Parts: sequence; C-alpha cells; structure tokens
Amino acid sequence: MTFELVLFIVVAAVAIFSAAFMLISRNAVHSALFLVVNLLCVAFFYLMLSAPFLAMVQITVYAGAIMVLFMFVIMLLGSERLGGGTTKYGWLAGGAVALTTIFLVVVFVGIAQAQIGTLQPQAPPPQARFIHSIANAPAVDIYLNEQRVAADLSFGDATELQTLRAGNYNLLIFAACPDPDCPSPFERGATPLVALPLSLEPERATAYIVAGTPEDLRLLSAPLDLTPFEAENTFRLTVVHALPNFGAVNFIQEDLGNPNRNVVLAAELNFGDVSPMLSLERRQYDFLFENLGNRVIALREYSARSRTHELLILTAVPVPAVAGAPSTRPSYLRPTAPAARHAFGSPQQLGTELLTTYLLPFQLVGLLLLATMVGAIILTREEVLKRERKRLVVSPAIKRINRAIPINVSAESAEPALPSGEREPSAD
Amino acid sequence: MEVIASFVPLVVILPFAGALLNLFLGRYLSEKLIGALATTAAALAFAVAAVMTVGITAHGYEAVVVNPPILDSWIYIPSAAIDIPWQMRVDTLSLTMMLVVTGVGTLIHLYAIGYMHGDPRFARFFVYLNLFLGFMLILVTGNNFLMMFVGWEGVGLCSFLLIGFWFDKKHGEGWKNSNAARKAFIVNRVGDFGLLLAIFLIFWTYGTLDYYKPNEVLHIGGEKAAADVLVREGGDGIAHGQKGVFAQTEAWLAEGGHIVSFGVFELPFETVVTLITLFMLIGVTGKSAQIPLFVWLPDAMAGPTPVSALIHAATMVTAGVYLITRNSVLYHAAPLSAALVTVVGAATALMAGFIALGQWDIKKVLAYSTVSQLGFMVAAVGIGGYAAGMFHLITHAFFKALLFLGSGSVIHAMEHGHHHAHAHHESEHGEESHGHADHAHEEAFDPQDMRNMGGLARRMPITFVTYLIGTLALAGIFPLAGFWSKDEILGKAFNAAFIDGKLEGFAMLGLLLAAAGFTAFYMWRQIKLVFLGVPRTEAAAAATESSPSMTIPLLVLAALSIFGGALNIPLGVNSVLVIGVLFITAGFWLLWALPSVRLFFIGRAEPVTSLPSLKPAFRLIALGSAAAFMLSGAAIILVPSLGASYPLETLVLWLEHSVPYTKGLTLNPFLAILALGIGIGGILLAQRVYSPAPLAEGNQDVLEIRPDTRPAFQLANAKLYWDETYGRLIEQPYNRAAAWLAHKLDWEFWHDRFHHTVFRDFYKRAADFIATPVDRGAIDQGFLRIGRAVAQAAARLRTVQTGYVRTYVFTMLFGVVLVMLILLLPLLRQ
Amino acid sequence: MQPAVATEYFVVLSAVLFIMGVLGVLVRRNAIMIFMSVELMLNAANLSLVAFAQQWSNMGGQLIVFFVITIAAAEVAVGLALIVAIFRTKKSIDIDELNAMQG
Repeated sequence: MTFELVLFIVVAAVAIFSAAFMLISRNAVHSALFLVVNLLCVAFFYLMLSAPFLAMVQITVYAGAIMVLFMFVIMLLGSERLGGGTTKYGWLAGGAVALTTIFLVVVFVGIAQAQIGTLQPQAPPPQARFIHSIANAPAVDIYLNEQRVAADLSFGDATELQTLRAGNYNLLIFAACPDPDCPSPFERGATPLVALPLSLEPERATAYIVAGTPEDLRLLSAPLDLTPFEAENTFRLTVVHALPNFGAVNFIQEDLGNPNRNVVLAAELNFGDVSPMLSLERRQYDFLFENLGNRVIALREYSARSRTHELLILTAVPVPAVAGAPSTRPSYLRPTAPAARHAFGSPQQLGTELLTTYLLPFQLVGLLLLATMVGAIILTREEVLKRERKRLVVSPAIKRINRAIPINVSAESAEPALPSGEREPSAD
Repeated sequence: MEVIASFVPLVVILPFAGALLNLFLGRYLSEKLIGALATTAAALAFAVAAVMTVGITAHGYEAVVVNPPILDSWIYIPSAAIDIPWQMRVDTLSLTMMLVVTGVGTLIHLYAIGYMHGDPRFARFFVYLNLFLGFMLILVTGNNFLMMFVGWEGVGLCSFLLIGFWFDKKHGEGWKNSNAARKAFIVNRVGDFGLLLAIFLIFWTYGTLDYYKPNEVLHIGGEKAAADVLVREGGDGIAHGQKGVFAQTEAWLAEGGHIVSFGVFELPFETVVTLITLFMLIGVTGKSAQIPLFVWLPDAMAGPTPVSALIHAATMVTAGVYLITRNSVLYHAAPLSAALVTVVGAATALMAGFIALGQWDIKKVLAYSTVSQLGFMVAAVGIGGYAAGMFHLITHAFFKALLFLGSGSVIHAMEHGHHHAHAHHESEHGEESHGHADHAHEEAFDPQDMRNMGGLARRMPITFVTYLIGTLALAGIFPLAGFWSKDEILGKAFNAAFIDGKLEGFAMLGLLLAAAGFTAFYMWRQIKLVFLGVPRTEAAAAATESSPSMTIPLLVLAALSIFGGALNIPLGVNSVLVIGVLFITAGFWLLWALPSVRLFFIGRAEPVTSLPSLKPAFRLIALGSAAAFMLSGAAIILVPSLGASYPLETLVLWLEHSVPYTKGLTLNPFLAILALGIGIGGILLAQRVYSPAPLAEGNQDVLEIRPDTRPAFQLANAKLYWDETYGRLIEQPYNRAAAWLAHKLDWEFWHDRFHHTVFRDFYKRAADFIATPVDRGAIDQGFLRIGRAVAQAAARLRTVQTGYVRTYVFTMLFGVVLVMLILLLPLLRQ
Repeated sequence: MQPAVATEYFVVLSAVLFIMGVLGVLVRRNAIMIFMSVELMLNAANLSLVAFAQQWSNMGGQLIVFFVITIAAAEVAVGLALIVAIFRTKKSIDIDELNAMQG
C-alpha cells in the first residue's frame, strides 16, 4: 500500500461519489457542481499520471469554461426545478442497468485477462550520427548494410541524428563518388575503405566518429545522452580524442584568473578514447587540452545551450602544404549538439508534438472551434420577424383590376409598409 | 498474231465505253456529239475487227484465245474444280460475226442520229444501242458457253430496253410498246431456258464449258475433223488433260461407247449429245424467231426502226444461227437434232412467208420476212451447210437492214408529211415525238400502214431505189447478193436430198422453194403499195426525202447488197463472168447513185436520172466513173486473164478454219435458174395481181376481194392465229391459275380465313387471356401485395423511430456492448 | 517505467465512471442533465487514455485527450445553444416531449 495508491483510492472514491450524486440530485445546479468536483478529481488523476499540462487544461477549460457555460444555461432556462413526471419508457431504466452491468463485467474480465501491467511499451529505436574527422582524407559515403546513412561526408561534416532500426549491421565506408549520377558502390563493385560490424541497440543514441589516418582508420563511438534533463540550465559534454599519433591528453577546465583552480574534467585520454559524460552548468568556459604539460589547444569562451549534449573532438585539421612541415595541425571539431528530449508529459513535449506531428489536427480543431462559435451564435440569436416579400411579377389582369377599382383589391399581394428596399415589379 | 488478237477486248470495251460516256455525259452533250460518240465507238470496234481480220489472214487463219486484262476467272470454285475464265476467241467465225455486227451497227448508228432527232431521250437510245453492241460482241467473242450466254442474255435485255423505248408514247399508246417489249423478253426467256439446260448438260457431261482449250489446234475441218483436233502438248499447262467441249466430243465419238452418268440413271453419250442439241434448238427458236417462239418478233416492230434494223434483222436474231454454227461438231454428231433443226427452219420460212402476204404494216411485212429468212438460215445450218447459213446471214444482214432503214425513212417521211398536211388544217398540235398519230377528233393516222402510202417513188427517189435494190436482193435476183446466198442454201438442200438421200433435204428443198416464191411476191406487193402508183393520202403526197444521215447508210447498204455476193461465189461458176457483171452493175449503180446524192445535197429531190440538171463538172464525174466501171467489167469478161484469179468460195474457205464440217458447194445451174425463175415469177405475179391499183375499193387488198383467195388472205392477215392460240393455250390458263391463286388461295384462304382465324383470333384470345386473368389478376395482384407488404413492414418498422432520444441512446449502448463483446471475445476466452 | 499506481486501476475507474455516465444519459429526462452525463463519459474516456499514455510513454494519448477536451468544449457550446433554441420554442427541455421526429 503505497502512498500513491492510498491517494488514488481516496480520490477515486470522491470521484465516484460525486458522479453518483450528480446523477441523483434533482437540482440541476447541484448536479453541475458535483460534476465540477468530479472534474477536479480527474485533473488530480492527470497529475498523478504525469500529465501536468493536461491537468491544468482540464481545470481551466473543462471545469472553468464548460461548466460555467452549463451553469449559465441552467440559470437561463430556469431548469433547476425541472424533473419528475411520468415516462413512457420505464423499461429503459431496467434495460440500461442490465446492459451496463454486462458492460462492467466484460470490462473487469477483460482487464483481468489482459494483464495490462505486463505490457511494456516498445523501446525507442536507436539513433546515430556520423562524423568525419580524418584530415586530408577524401569525402566518404557510409553504408549500413545497403542503406546509405551518410552521403558525401567530407572532413568536418557531421550528419544529423538519424533514427535507425535496432540490429546488427555491417558498416561500409566507401570513397564518395564525385559524380552525382554515380551508381551505388555495390553496383560499381567498389571495395570499401573500411568494413566493420556494428550493432545498434534500442534506446541508445550514438555519435560515430571516423577517425585516424587513411591507413589506420578507426570508428569511435561516443554515446549521447538525450534523456530529459532534470536541471534546466545544464548541458552535457563528451570529449573525444581523435588525434592520431598523439599521446594522452588531459581535458582541463581553465580558470584564467587562477591557474590553480583548473579542473581536470577528463584525464589521460588516449587516441581513441571517449571521455565519460560531463554535466556542466550553462556558462562560459575556457577549456584546454594538454599533453604532458604542453598546451595542445585551448578553447576560449566556450558556451553551449542548455539541455544539449555537446561533443568535442580533438583532431587534426589540414594546413596549407609547406615543404618540410607537417600537413596537419591539432584542432578540434565541435558538431552541432542535439537537444535532449523533454520530460514526459511536460508542456514542452506537448507543445513540440502539437506543432510538429499533430499540426494538421491542431489547425483543424481550431477551425472547428471557429465554426462552432459561429454556429452557437446563429442558433441562439433572437428570431427576427421576417418581412413579407412583395410579389415580383404582378399579372396584367390584376393590374387592370387595380387600375379600374380605386381601392387595392388584391390584398394578398399587399406589402407591409417598409421604407426603402421596395422593389418595383419587373414586368409590366 | 497474238499481239493483234490482244486487241479483241477493245472490241467489247469500246461499245461499253461509248455507252457509259453517253450515260453519264449524255445530258451535257448535243445530239450530234452523242451520236458521233456512239457511232465512233462502233466504227472503232469495226476497225479493230478489220485489223484482226487482216492479221488472222496473214497468220494462217489460226485461232487465238485471248484473256482480257484484269478480268480473270468468271466463275472460280476451286473446291469443285470449276474454273470458267473470261476468255475471248479470235477465229474466222467470230471475226465474221464481229465484222457484220460492228459494220452494220455503225451504219445503223449513223442512221439513228437522223432518225431519233428530237427525241427527248436521245442519249439514252444510243446508250442502249452501244450496250447492245457490246453484249452482242461478248456473245460472239466468247470462248466458252458461259460468255456466250452472258451475251445472249445481254442482247435480250437490250432488245427489251429498245423495243419498249417509247413506253411513254402519248395518248395511252405507250403500254403497247412496253407490252411488246415484255413479250419479247418473256418469249426469249423460254428459249433461254432451253439453252441453259443445254449448258448445264454440257457442263455435266464434259466438266468444262470451253469451246476449245487454249492449247488445242483446230485442224482445217471439213469432212475429216474427227481426229484432227489436236492437243498441243506442252505449253502453258492449262487443263492439260482436259479437252474442250468439241475436242472431247470428237474423242468420245471416236472411241465410242462412252456413258454419261446422271447419278440415278445413265445415258449413252450420243443420246446426251442429242439432248444437248435439242435444248439448244429451243434457245435458237427463241432468239432466232423460229417456230414456235417467233411470236415476239413481229410485235418487236413497236420499237424504233433502227432497233428493228439492227437487232431484229441483222444481229441479235442471227445469234441462233451463230450458235448452231459454233456447235457444228455437236450437231454433226446428232443427226436427229440436225434434221429437226432443218424441218423447223424450213417450216418457219414458209409459214412466215405466207403470213407476210397479208400484212398491212410496212414493218410487219419486213418482220415476217426476217422470220422467213431466218428459217432459211436455220434450215441451212441444220442440213450441214454452215458456210451457206453464215453467207446468208451476212447478205441478209445487208439487205434486210437496208429494207428496214428504208422503211424507217418512209415512215419518217410519212409522219412529216402528215404534219405538213395538217399544218394547214390544225395549228394546236405541236408534238414532236415520233409515233404520235392520234388526233382526238380525227381518225388515227398510222404512218406505218401501207394503205396510207403510195407513189413515194417520186417523192423519195433515193429511198425508193435503195429499197428496190433490197427487194431484188431479197428476192434472189442475179447478180445481187441474195441470189448467191439463197442459191447456196437451196443447193445444199438439193445435195442433201438427192445426193445424201436425206428426207429432211426433200422437205427443206420444197418448203424453201415455195418460201422463195412467197418472198418475191410479198416484197413486190410492198413495192407496189408503197412506192409505185399514186399517193393515197395527203401525207404520202407531202412526203419528202430523208436527211443524209439516213440516206447515206441506205446507199452504203445498197452497195453491199449488190456486191455482197462476191463473198462466196460457188465453185463451178465462171467467176470472171460474175465479176464482170458485177462491175457493170456497179457502173449502173454509180450512174444513178451519184447524181441522186448530189441532187439531194443541193436540195432537190428529183426523180431518177435527172442527169441533165446537174452541173457539167458533176455530170462528167458521174458519167466518167460509171463508164469506168462498166468498161472494166466488160474488159474482165472479154479478157479472161484479168478476172481468172478471183477467188471462189472465199467465205467457205475462210470459215473452214474455225467451223468443222464446213464444206463448199458446186453450183447447180438448174437449181439456180429454177430459183431465179421462181423469184422473177413471184415478182411478175405480184405485179400482175396488184395492177392497176394495189388496193381495191374500201382499202382492201386485191386478194381479199377475190373469194377464192380471201380465206387465205384473211388467214395471213390474222398471222395464222398464233398469238390467239398461245393466248388460249398458255396465257388464259396461266391467268386463270394466277387469279385463282391470288384471289382464292392467297386472299380468301390465307388472308381472310387463315390469318383471321389463326393469327388474329388466336392472338386476340391469347392477349385477352394474358391481359385479364394473368396480367390484372396474377401479376397486378402480386405486385399490389408486395407493395402492401412493404407498406405494412414500413409501418411497423417506423415505430423504431420513436423520436425519443433515450431509446436511441439505449440502442447505441446496446450496439456498443455488442461490439465490445465481439472485439474482446478472443481475449475473454483465455 | 513502472507507474506507482497500476494502470488497471485507472482503467477500472474509467469504466465505472463511464457506466455512470451512460446510466445518466438513459435515465434522466432533463436535457442538460443528459449533457452533463455525456461530459462524464468523455472524462472517463480521457482518464483511460492518459493512463495508457503513461504506461506506454507515448505522448499520443495525452494529445488525443487535448483534442477531446477541445472538441468537448465545442460540442457543449453547440449543444447548449441548441437546447436554448429548443427551449424558446417548446418551453420545455424534457426530452420525452421532444419526439417530433417520430417515424
């Protein structure tokens, strides 16, 4: 008996009793008020079911607007004292009770049988993105089995986060074909630069980094955590060492004013290592990569958006070729960070869904409301007395009679004396 | 020769082309142009035939079979192995016919331009004429029986169209013409039926309808034709093993004992040949107007005179003679039929000659004369004198056409004379159409009735002289053409009777001699009535000579009638003498003809020999040419070497190459003098009888007055009651049967009783039954009940709509629970 | 995640509330009362939806509830307008008297 369960039972009882009283009470206003209580209970349930926004909507719209409307109409019609009288269909009550009993029985048995609790939601599919971080390497196409997931990926490019199916794949990296009309490498019979087995598990988001040298090509996988953030102004950071032929580096958060207050966020990262996930507050940082006391590269005034998972890749970038000098130098890649998911049931998530997936129904419902408004107004307006229309065409016979006799004999075609807008007969 | 012969389709195409042109363009062309078109078509056809004649002479008289372009198989049924091609045959016989048809046809076309002047359907006439020419040429050029039959039927059609040409004659007279046309067609049809049976038999027996297959060479016939029809081996492979009809006949006769099977019975081949020839004879009696199917020919005189001249004298009626000549092989193999042919021909000759004595219409006399002369021809070919028959065919074409055209000229003049005569009296009648003779308030004037004529010799000299020449030729006066051909026939009869001992020869000889006498008599009677004496009516007195377009053909035909005999001078005659005489005759002829022509052209119709009235230059020409001819004639006679090389028996030799069993004749001088005497005697007798006036009082014939000759005359005048007999024997029973069938059987029984009872009453009862008990009772009730049931169901179902919301909600809830149960059933079952 | 209160409880509660709403619709004769029972039914359904949304961690459920609430508001507006209009004519909102559509 957890606390929630007790709470649930109490509120449920309140809901049921209020519903019952609503049904029984003779006074319509009392019924409406009982219904309000019921609605508030349901709102409470929504809160319990992690739908806070809906709870608020329920209270505002349902209890606040709809029931008020009900009240208005009840008062308007003075129907609180309505009720009683004989009914021709007395058997309805009995039949209704019977049917509803059957209904309940079916529901109970169904619930008992269905074992709802054991039903598990489907796990969300895996997501992956691919980043090319080999300097002086040509653009590549990346294929998972036969599905192309990255096209013409040059150095420094990162794909978006793609939703893929879970399973085991064969990752194939081909040199990208410069010609846009190239057939697929499978038709070309090209040999992949790299062929690695890859396993995608559900509910995981990963960034795959193609790192190393063209001769020694490696695939680094950096897991991304996109679960909802509890704290609002934080972001997550992962650092990846993708600088080939380089020793271990330390990733240090620098305090420019006081070097002693430097914090080593990730230590002893070797080539190919991925740091653990760091949770950082949302402010400006100064970071430093250091190798054996040497400063490798420093980042000044690094700031990130909250609720994102940032990625920092230490890699080599090409430099203009100068004889005798190496062709690359160390630098970093910072691909755009994907935003984490919203909490379940949060207004943000609701809003996002409403405006992306359910945009069309959203708009249509808006139109519907508009139509409803107009309809309600029309239905309830005061009846305007229709004015009698005058006959457009008066037959010549009647005209002759009219002219012959001074008094207007044809009273049927007489028009009410309305000022303007009289129409003359069109035919004479 | 093949090249020349390949023109033979032109002979057929040209007249048809002329017909089509006149048919479609006729309304836009002038009379002269239409006539010129038609005449040119005929003349060109004659030219082609002439060219082919020269060609075939130069190439050994060998026959050529030509397949015309485009037209291939006429009937082609490969599954029954029937392949009857559209083939034409160019041999001496067909060329003879072609020349006669196109030659005389051209002259008659020319004549018709003048004769039909002013006729409202002028173009149509020439269309028909050309059409006829085309069909006749198909008849004679065909190489198989089917093509001949096509031409046979075609000329019958054209005859019908042309006889009834004036079907719209005024005052209700047109129906007489259309009746005559129909009579011609129907009587011909009876004959055609016989011919068709013959053709069917031929096809059944021989399996082919070709006269000769293309690779058969007809050896020069005569007596020894049996084994002489060779089949040239090799070559084009057409019907290699199959022979043509005639060759097959010879082969089977030679081997003997061939049996023809008809499925249920069999007949020996000779019997079948006899049957074939007998059926053919029926066709011949129809087309060539022999007993018993000649009755259409006199009625056919209702057509315009050019038609009578062309079709019913010169060409169509000779088709029968051509048929028998072509089938000489068959007739030679069937002596019984040949004898029958002879007897029929001879009998017809005498009978028709007798009837001609009593006729008053100028054209009827000529018509019966034609029948009589056809009898001569048919008898000749029946007795085996194929060349004689063809010779008479040719000469008869000349002088009979001449006579007809002359009669046309006379009729024309009579009509115009009638007009002129009445122009003084009346002024309201302006009809231009030919043949109108009735004035409402006058007696009917028949321009063709000889009793209205007389004294026309002075009024129409050219017509008179040419008519006279024609008469003399017909009567068989030396040295005109008729003498030679008639004498040939009589000679054949004599030979058959006295040398071969055939019975039919005796009959033929006797009948034909008598007929010759009759011929001379009635022809001179006609001369007396028409030309000599004084005009008996105003019309005759006002008659004038006809236009050149009418008289020039007369002159040409007269010349041909004079010289036609030279075609076939028999053996034993001193050809030198004959040629000389002919030349002298020619001189006399020229002496007369040229001035007359000249006079006519300068607009004076003067009596004969008005030489002095001509200009000196023309006088010189006329005299000079006449003298030239006469002197050369005398020279030929007196200097033997000049004329010795004139060929004799030209026609016989010519025809021998295409007609087997043709043989020539040596002149029998006794017979010749006998025939000549009979001819002259007939003329003299007629001259004596019909003098001083040809008609006795009351416009009766002299013979009619005399009691001993009156029955004979009346019998002749009544045409021996042939038409009445046919009427009694055939028409009346037929009409009665038809009337009975129409009224009693069809109308009363079928229509009134049967239809009314069976159909109408039964239908009514059935309809009533279906209407009332079935329709109203069952069906209506059924549907009404359905309707009511629906209404009741609806009334009951309507109560579901209670109008109470709560019931609706309850129902919905019920439905929801039900659906839930169904959906959760699998779950609940666990 | 495992909710503190099992989803079945919420579903049962939702069913009970729904039943009570149905009974209200069927038994009451006042049109406004019927409306309020309909609102009760809607709420019961909403509750069920949110419960399942939490169990499945699927925002869809909550969004549907969002729309349902909106549409319920619209429906109430129109329905009450209708009732007002009917009342004007018939001077009564006893649905047993509103049977003019009787067939």
